Amino acid sequence: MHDEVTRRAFMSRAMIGAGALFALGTTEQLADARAYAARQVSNATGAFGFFTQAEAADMAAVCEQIIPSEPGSPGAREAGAVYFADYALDKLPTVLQSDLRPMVRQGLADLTTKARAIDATKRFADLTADQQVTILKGIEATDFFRRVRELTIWGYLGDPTHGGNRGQVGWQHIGFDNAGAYEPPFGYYDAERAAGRGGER
Amino acid sequence: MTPQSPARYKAADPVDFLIVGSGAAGAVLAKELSSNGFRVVVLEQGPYIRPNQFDHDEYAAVHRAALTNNYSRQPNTFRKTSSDTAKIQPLVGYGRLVGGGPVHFTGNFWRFHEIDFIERSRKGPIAGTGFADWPLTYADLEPYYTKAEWELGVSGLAGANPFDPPRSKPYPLPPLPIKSSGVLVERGATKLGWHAFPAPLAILSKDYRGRSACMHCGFCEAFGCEFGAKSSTLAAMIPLAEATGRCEIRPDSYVREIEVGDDGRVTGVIYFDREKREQRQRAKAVVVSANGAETPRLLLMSASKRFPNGLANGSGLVGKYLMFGPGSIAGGLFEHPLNEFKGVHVSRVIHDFYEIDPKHGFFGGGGLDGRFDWYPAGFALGGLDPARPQWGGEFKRALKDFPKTMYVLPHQTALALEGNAISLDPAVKDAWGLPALRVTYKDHPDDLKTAQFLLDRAMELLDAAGATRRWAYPVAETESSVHLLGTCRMGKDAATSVVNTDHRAHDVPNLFVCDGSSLVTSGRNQPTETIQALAFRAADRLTALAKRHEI
Repeated sequence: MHDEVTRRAFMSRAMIGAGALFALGTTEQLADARAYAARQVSNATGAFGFFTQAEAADMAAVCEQIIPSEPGSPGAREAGAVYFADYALDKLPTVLQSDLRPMVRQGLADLTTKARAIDATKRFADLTADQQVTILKGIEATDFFRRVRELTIWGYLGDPTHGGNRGQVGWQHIGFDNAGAYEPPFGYYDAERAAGRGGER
Repeated sequence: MTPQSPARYKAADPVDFLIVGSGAAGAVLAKELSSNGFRVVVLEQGPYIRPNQFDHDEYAAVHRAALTNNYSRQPNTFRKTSSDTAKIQPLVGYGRLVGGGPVHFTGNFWRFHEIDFIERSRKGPIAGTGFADWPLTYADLEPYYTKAEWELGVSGLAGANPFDPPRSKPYPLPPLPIKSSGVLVERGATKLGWHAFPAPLAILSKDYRGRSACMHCGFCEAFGCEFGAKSSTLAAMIPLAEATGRCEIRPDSYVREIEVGDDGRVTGVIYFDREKREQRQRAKAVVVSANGAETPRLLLMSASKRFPNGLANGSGLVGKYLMFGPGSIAGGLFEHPLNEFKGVHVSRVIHDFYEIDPKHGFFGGGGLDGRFDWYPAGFALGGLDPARPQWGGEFKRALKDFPKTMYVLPHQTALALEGNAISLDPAVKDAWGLPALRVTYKDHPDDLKTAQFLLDRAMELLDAAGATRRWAYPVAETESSVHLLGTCRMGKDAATSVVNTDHRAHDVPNLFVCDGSSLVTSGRNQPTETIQALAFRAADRLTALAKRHEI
């Protein structure tokens, strides 16, 4: 891989061990999470395979807090990250002999419990963005959050063939285009050298 | 030579050589031995994926292990010392497909230096270790380094590295284009008085022997090259082996036991086919090239009445002296886009610390390379400065660092310790019912000091190169690796090694072992060229022995 699996495993270990470094999520106001979740579910391109409709709305809300949408900058919502997550959990649910599905389902149920503690009539997706962020900060160190974060990232930046990263919005955000072939110079510093500029500074 | 159809052999037909594993060593041996007129079967546990089937799907390749061993089916277990109980976790990574590791490797192709073969004599003993000289010298292997570079197709610039060992021929191909990371490594090295040189890579900078040059797509590490420009054994060796008409590559064939006759000679192997049915293949000689983890596992699984401690294990050293090498890495952010996702991953290397001055109080050495081998999702999952937010709006903005980020990766020595070993887990089984691969590993303190030393140099380099932000992952104890070395070490003394300088098992006359397990020292943990040079040399030795009827 690695190379490499070594280094990737090393990095993932570093990340797992970095719970304390998990920075605080943003508190900026997002577009109304509830409205989006309802719209997304009603406009679903197909039935969800793993999630119930209610779970999908909650999961979509979590994805949107992990990678939020901003004006002119699509996020997990536009990428359809929840659809990737549904695909991954429905078709490829096992990682290292561990089935993620019960843990994800329980984690979503726990979010419902936390939402109802705020307002007995609401689920997670119905809460305000601030309320959602507060709840998620409280579960940052859980396996559930770690896995949902991974699913969101794959759904935002993975290959579009898996149902996420729609319109390659994630790749566009980070400046990647998967063109399949490039010509040098590739970046600023090699271009600078090729042009005979950029000597010692 | 007119290309022939690949050979097909019957199970009861004793082929001249049965090779277990089609990777860095196995495919070289298959090509060489079949070209020399021998009848060869290669049993590969993974699938046969043609280059035109490779794609850029990060989720499939990295997350779902499309080209590598899948821990869900083949679990590993880990313990630090033999008194601990091993726990299931992912540890050893290897290419599990026809062509093996070189299909998905980065392409770094470093020769070992002269010192790597004689370092024990030069530096003296290190108490509590199995630190030893090789039974070969650099001069013995030099013709085969050259052969590997020319047969496979390697790009580089001879003479550019002032620390390079002598070479009999230049590289067959010029270096790949310098990347922004390479310019920055050069800039930093110049300021620090170090010497950056073009990375030697098993990737074609120009068309070569019917294969096309690199298109700079950026998907080297963890991916197969759909252009055939990566000089993997799949691209450069397997087609030639099959074209002899004497070599059969048999994929989806997972060997569980090497069989031994009453005379103590091996007679063939038992393996599982794609449908998990047991099959046998007869052979006059068996070559195990299954990698430094699976090779000792297979020898240990091949225990018999005659060899109760495992095959070729009279010394008791099969699986021992495992060398992983600690991991450390430093990252840097720069003002302008580097766009490191384009092109090969590494374009400049530094060998100024190949031998760290002993005045620092520890043994070790290594090299540094400037690189970026993160793909989009992997970067977000683990390639970002860990001090940055990990979710939310700030996290999303930090992801825009993707084109402005590079890493400096040290590669270093690992001392051989007898307690560090591959063995069979007594409880955990794989999906075929075979004992899981168990790793016991604890770094020598000098290896960790070396890692810290090199990490400090990596940070200095990024600073000198003008990084606006730098970060280093703390040096951590090693538990896993993709470089699997030392577990059937080569030596002249049957009491202190597993194979002789012909790669013949000391205990079994028609059994040979050639792969990363043969290495006596780790070099600076860029082992592929040395494994392949050993394989080219082993093929010459096996050919000579067979022609003299000495197998």
